[in-house]
Amino acid sequence: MSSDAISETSRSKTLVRWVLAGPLALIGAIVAMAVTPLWMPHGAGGVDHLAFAIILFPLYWAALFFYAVLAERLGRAALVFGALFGVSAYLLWQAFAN
Amino acid sequence: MSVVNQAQSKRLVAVHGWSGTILGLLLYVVVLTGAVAVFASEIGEWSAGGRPAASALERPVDARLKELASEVDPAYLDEVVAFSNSGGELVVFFHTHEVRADGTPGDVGVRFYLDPETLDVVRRYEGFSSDMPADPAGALDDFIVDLHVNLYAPHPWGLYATGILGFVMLIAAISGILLHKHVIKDLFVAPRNSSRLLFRKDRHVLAGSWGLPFGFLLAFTGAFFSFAGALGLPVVAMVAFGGDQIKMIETIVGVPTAEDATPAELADLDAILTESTARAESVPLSIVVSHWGRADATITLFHPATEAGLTGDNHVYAGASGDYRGTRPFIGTQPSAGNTVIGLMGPLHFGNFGGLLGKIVWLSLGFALCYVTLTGLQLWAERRREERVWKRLARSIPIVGYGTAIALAGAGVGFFLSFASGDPRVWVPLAFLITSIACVIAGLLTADVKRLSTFYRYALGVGLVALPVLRILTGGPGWANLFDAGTVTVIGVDLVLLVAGIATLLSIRGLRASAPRRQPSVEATAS
Repeated sequence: MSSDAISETSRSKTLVRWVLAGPLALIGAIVAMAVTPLWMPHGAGGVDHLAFAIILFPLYWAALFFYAVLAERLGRAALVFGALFGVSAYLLWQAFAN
Repeated sequence: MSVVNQAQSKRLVAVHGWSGTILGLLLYVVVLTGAVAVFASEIGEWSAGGRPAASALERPVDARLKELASEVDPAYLDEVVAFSNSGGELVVFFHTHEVRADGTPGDVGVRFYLDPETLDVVRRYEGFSSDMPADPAGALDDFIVDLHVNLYAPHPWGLYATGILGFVMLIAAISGILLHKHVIKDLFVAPRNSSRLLFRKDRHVLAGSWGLPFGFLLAFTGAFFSFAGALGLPVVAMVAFGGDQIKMIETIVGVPTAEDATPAELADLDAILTESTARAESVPLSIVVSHWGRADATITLFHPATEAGLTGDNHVYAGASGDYRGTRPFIGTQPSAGNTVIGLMGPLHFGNFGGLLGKIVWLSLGFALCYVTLTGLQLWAERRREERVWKRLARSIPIVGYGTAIALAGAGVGFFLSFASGDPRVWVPLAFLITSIACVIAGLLTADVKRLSTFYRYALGVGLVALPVLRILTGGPGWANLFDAGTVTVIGVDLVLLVAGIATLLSIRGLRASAPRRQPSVEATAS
């Protein structure tokens, strides 16, 4: 492979990593926060699913950000992000359909 | 040993450096104002000239509040809030909830400011609370808090901005932890004197290593506070309640008790204040009466944390009988894990537990994080000093570093010069802006960094020393009067400012005497 082609591949990888760690990590964190009340137990006071959804938002964001930054295989990382969005979309559709 | 490989480490270094570099100066402003805001309550009391040793809610208020209640429109008895302001005045707001002409909800009623000793009316305003003149006594501490929380930007954009900065701090802290190759060794690293850059790097690593857990804690809780109301609550409410706000409020604050508008005399507020104070072992910060004069009235008293506790208590009483009903969680109707964790967020971010010692620790750690932020920026810029863009960054570091502190002192000067005229809400931010602009101009006109730092230290030292002097010259109480009244907070703040100012002025001699260290090669510092 020529040096130009290697450089081109490297630039593409960097771009994909930027998109995953930047806008998609933020959107993923918001989506993860939104669906947390749908699976989190309500707890004794009936508010745990609401409280922990909001508390966990910065940690969701950080986890997705660092996963995208540290991932060795970007294709797999993109699949994980896709799975997160897919499962969340299904949970939201279920919630609003009912 | 590092937990990441070489390629990951390279990416983490880029994340750690770039995240701090792009938003580092704004982050510094937020962290510095946050560190100062730990003492917001004391700054408020100091700027207002002190408050009586005994809070207004420690004295008999029942008869006076009932007298005022008989004077206002009965509609305003829907909810009554009473608390002491920065100057010790008892603020009482009789109000109800109405929709304004533009369709937005608001509180409308009568707000009284009462003399803390005589309970005479000092000021009285009527209308929507948002249209009433803001309390001039809290202008300085409110400004510092607003700068920290919103960067003085409009809602909700300021919250989004500080939330993003909190996230930047969070990723800088986490990447710092992941990048540490020798965690224990870095906690005790001795700064090398062989070059200025190595010296700075070692000091950055040392302060950063000790500050990492605190930085993580502050960043996490700060991001939570910024995004919780502006983003989290609307999103979660939409999903969990399908946009049904009434159902959401019922879940969070509880279903309202059955309405009973039968007229009923309010129980003795003084007896309730005494009992609640004994239960909580602290004087309440505020008292809220709902449905004053009705059979379904409730009285809630909010207490601060005691020195032995992390969070404050609130106690609820039946308004008509005065019977104790128990405590109320922050969210939900009974104790829960979610309520406990939410309740911990405040103390962990504000450091308002453990009394004075807790606040001093939080202030010190906040200053340490300011140091880490600035030295990190300096290192990044110095390693790239051949490139024009990084030269500009290097130039802006002392301007923002010293300038923000000087501008805060300038805001204090603006407060005292305008307090008598009753317009400090305008002059405090204006004085901050004017001082900031003066600092930027000085920075742009002075090429020599050492000369510039000397000038800034003079300005900061003189500004800090001038504040207590100006406080007294503009009509604030002197130390003898404060001693007699038992108001030690004002004397304490005066002394801290004088010592800090004199120390800053004395440090100029050390700055002049310091010999320039040998510039190392970039390779030497990259290790």
